[in-house]
Formats: sequence, C-alpha cells, structure tokens
Amino acid sequence: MKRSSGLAALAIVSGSALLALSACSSSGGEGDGGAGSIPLGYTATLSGDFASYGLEMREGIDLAIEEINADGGVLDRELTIESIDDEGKPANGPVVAQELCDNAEIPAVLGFSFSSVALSGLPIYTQCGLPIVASAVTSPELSGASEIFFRTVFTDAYQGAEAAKFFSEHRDVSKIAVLYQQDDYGKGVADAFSEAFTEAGGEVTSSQAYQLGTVNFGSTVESALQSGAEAVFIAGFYTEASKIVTQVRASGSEVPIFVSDGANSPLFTELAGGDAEGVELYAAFSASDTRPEAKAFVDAFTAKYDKEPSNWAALAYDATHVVADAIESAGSTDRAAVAEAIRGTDGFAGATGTIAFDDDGNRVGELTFQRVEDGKFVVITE
Amino acid sequence: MQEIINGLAVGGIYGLLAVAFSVVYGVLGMVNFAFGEIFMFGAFGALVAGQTNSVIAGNSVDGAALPSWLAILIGLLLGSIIGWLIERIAYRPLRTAPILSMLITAIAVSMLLRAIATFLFGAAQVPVPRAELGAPVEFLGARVQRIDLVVLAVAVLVTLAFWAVIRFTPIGRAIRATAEDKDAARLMGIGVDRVISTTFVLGSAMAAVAGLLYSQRYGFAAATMGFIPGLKALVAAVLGGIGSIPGAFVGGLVLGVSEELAAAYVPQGSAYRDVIAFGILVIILWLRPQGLLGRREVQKV
Repeated sequence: MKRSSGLAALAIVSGSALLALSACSSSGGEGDGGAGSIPLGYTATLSGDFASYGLEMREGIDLAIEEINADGGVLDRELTIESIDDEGKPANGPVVAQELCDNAEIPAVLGFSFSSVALSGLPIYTQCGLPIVASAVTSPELSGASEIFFRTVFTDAYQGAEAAKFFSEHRDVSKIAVLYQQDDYGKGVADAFSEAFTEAGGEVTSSQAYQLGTVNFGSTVESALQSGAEAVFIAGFYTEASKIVTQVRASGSEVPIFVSDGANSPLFTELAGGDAEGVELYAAFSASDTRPEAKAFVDAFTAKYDKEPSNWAALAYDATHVVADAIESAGSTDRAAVAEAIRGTDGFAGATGTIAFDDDGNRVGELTFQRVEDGKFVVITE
Repeated sequence: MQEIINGLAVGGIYGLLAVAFSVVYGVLGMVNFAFGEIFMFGAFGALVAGQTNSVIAGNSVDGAALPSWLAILIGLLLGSIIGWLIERIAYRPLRTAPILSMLITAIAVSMLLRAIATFLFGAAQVPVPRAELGAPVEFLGARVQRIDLVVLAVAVLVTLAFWAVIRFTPIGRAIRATAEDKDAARLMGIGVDRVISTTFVLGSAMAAVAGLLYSQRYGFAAATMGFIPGLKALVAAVLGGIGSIPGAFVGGLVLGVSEELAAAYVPQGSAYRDVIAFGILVIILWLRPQGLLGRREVQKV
C-alpha cells in the first residue's frame, strides 16, 4: 500500500514535470518567431583585483549593442546581454560554460579576462557547440584549441612577427639586438619577432632575457650594443622598457629602439622622460587612430562614458559587431550556423582594423604602429 | 672597465644599506628587515617634498615644491623618524624576548610599511625627476655617468663619516660598548636604550640616503623598490662580515661589481643576476663563514 502510493506520487510528479517542460519549450518556440530578444552570453572577471579588463570589455560591448539595437537589431530582434562573473577562477570556467550552454537561446559568447578560465571551460562550450569570440585572452594554448573558439585580440606571437616585418621593411635596420622579459609574454613575442626578422633577411645580433623588476641594465645594454646592433627591440612591460631606453641613451647610443605593446602606457613616457622620444612601438588599438571606423568608435565611446576607450573596450566592441554580423548573415540563431558565419568573417572593418580569423581561430589583421613624439604616442601612417 | 664602474655605483648603494644592517646587527644581534622600506620612504619623502603636486592615497595633494637640498633633507629626516619609531614601538618591548621573536617582528614591520606605502603612493612606479648633471665623463675608455660619480662619492663620504662617528665620538664609543656587552655598558652608566635609538636613527639615515641615490640613478620610486636592494644589502653585509662597517661597505662594492660582470660575461647572465648574487653568498659562507673582513671569534662589534 505504502509502495503503490509512493509510485503514484512519483507518477504525478514526473507527469507535471513533463508538462512544465513542454510549456517551457513551447514558450521558447514562440520566441524564435522574431518577437523576443537575442541574449548574447558574456563572461569575464567582474569582481576582485582584476575586474578592470572585464568592466572595460563590457563598456565596449554595451556601446556596440546600443548601436545595433538603435539600427533595428539583428534579424529584427533586439540584442541583450546575459552576464556571468567568473571571478577569475579557472574552477569557475566549466560552471559558467554549463550555465551558458544550458540557455538554449544564447547563440554566442563574448568576453573572457583570463586564458586559464577560457581553457578550463572550453571543452564544455565545444560539446554544446556554442561559439566564443573572446577579446582579451592571448595564450598560445588557445590557438586551434577548439572549432568554436575565436578571438579579436592578436596573439603575442602574431604581433611579434608582424612587428618584425614592419620594422625590417620600413626602417633601414638589418642587425638588431633583442631584450625580452623572462616569461610567456616576453619570450613569446621575442621568439616570433626574431624568427620573422631573420626570415626577412635581418640578423639578431644578441638576444638577452631579463627578470621582471630589474632596474639595472648597464651591462645588459652594453653587451647588446657591442654586438653590432643597428637597433634594439624590447619585448616587455613599460616598467623595464623605460629603464632600458634610458640606459641605452645614457650609454651614448642613438640607435632606433622598438618596443612591444607592453610599453603602451602613459607611464612609459613619464618614466623614460625625454629619452622616450622617437621610440616606436605597436599595439592592437590606439585611441588617436585616424581611420574613420576607429574615430567613430572613439567619438561614440567618449560621448557615452566621458573617457578614452581602452584596448579591451575596442576589442570587445569589435567582437560584438562580428557576432551580430554573423547572426545576421547566418539568418538564424542556430549555434552551428553562427559559428560557421563567424569563421567566414573576412575584411570586417572594425575599430581595431580589419578583422578575419585564421584556421586556429586567431585574429588576422594589421597592428597600429606608434611613435613617441613630445611625450605622446602618435600613430605612424605609412 | 665599463662593467666595473657600473658595478661600483650599484655597489655603493648596496654598501650604504649594508652598513645600516651591520650596525643594528652589531648592537641588537638582529636583522632589521625594515631597512629596505626606510630606503623606500627616504626616496618618497624627498620626491613628495620636492614636487609641486603629488598623488597620495588617490588624492591630488599640493606639494611643498621645496628646493632640492631641502627636499633631500626631508627625505633623510622622514627615514630617520620612521627608523626611530620602529625601534621604539616594535622592537623595544621585545628587548628581552628571544631573538627569533624580534626577527619575525622585523619581517612584519617590513611588510606593514610596504603596505602603507602601497596605500599612500599606489603600486605603480612613480617617475622621479633627475638632476641635470651634464654629459658623461670618459675615464680609462669607459663612459661614466656623472650621477654614478655622485652616487659613489656620496656613498664613500657618508660611510667614512659614519665610521668616524662610531670611532671617535662619545656616542660612537657608547655604541661600541653596547655592541660589546649590553649589561656591562649599562653598569658603566651608559643609557643603553638611548644608544640603541641613536643607532637606529643613524642607520635609518644611511638607508634613506641609499634610497635617494637609487631613485636618482634609476628615475623612479615605488612601494616595493626596497625589497630586492634590502636583500642584496643583507648579502653584502654578510659577505663583508656582518658587524663590521668597512666590511659591509666593501661587501656592497664586491657584490655590485660581481653582479655586473656576471650580467655581462655569463651567457644569459642578465636573467640570472640575482641568482649569481645569492650564489656568491652561499659560497662565501661556506669558505669563510665570518665574511671577508669579519673576525671569527667575535659575535658583535
């Protein structure tokens, strides 16, 4: 008796659950008709010490969505954002991924502050076929890691190689000394730079690593210059780069100095002072870029937030437009179709230049080269 | 030659800080880890006093814009006052406690001061305007920066002056007596507490001078700037024979020069200069535990 009443209860519960499920799916079906909005997934580190990247990306995304919705939306539906904080913890990667995967209405995901978090969640996104267009993670481990992973940010290796091509083509330099920060970033940039520079017919006369936090480069600079170098390339952050620049000039050398995007900070020119003049560096984006797409973005961003957009805001802004374009051209919010359309993105004119993706999902495009003039970064147009 | 000159200038800064470590070790038998932070406050004190405007704890504050000699004096004074306060508040209550308690307190004080500085001045490096000294000087085929000559000269003069104070003045005699035997000194009518305070103030002033020279040579100040130089100076003090003033200074010079030579001549030496510095320490302690100029049987000088 007891047993059968239990069974009956079970039957009632499962029956009502089935009813509820069918109710859900039918309401979802109505949404597909064009009335409801399309939620885009957004996950990044939005709290704690490293929240700034995530918040800056969000500013770019919000601006893009505002523009797209004002323009009639995508497939005649409004875009919205479904945001989840990953707290910068790799352990949260799979949890967030599952949550976004389970929401069947989400056609694509934006964001990601940390490569480690993206990597830990990637298998789940791959399983449910949810495409990602990330805009701040640069780890080489993400290259070709999944069919559905794309990024608008350039990898360190790509930037290093592009920088080598630019400097060997446009500057009369065939012998260069490389100084790099002893970590994934510095080494990644320096290796790619050296390889591309040698390929272009140049010679790397000396290649020296240094630790983050080094202040004294006397002997390092001395042996770099005595190697017969006509120029110096620094792959590192502004703190050490500014000291190397000062100490190269103090040793009486006037050779051209090129620096990686780690020096793209106003503090670089403040710390190096007058010695920073003429130093050239690359970056994915410059707020003083004069191309119309960049200028329109900077103007709209400044009007909305009353400040200059950062690199990350620009890259996320472009990612949002790429995704919206992909949904439009796929003609549906089907994840596989959207992923296919993102892969087909070619020559998209964004704030950070033209956008396309290679077979590994990595960004292909051109860097912004800048020169320090009167203490300011000026975009080189040549 | 170039490397040796560079090394001597760096070594002069280590040497000054090493002397500070050495004298305090002499009177108290403990390592005051906080000298690295006094070094930092010396640099910041002069920077804030000399500028028209500084950002403190996120707020823009009008500076005094004092002439540079006065700003330097303020940096010195700030370092000395902090040194005096540390001794008074953190170490004196532990005078009779085991030496390990003091050592742990010293580490805590060092971390606390660094946290305060991070709160006040932020975590990023702050540019320090440098003195215009003119073109470098040619010397034996090497290019010598004028700032390096100033650094070395100041370091040598300050150390000599300090040594003279310890050697020839009544307070110096009291410091030596306290270092020799605290109880006997007290019985002879020496105010041991006052002597220890004075030693801290003098040592802190030396550390502040070192910090000032450092921020001028490299053009920045930062809350964490004292940590590595502090460790290196400790190495230098042990290298030269801790407790000995000339030993500590010479230890600083030796460390500075060997670091530069290693960075220049060891393949990829620039990445491992700190490893080399600490490697030297291990080897010296193995071959000559009392240090280069130290005496074997004497524990305190």
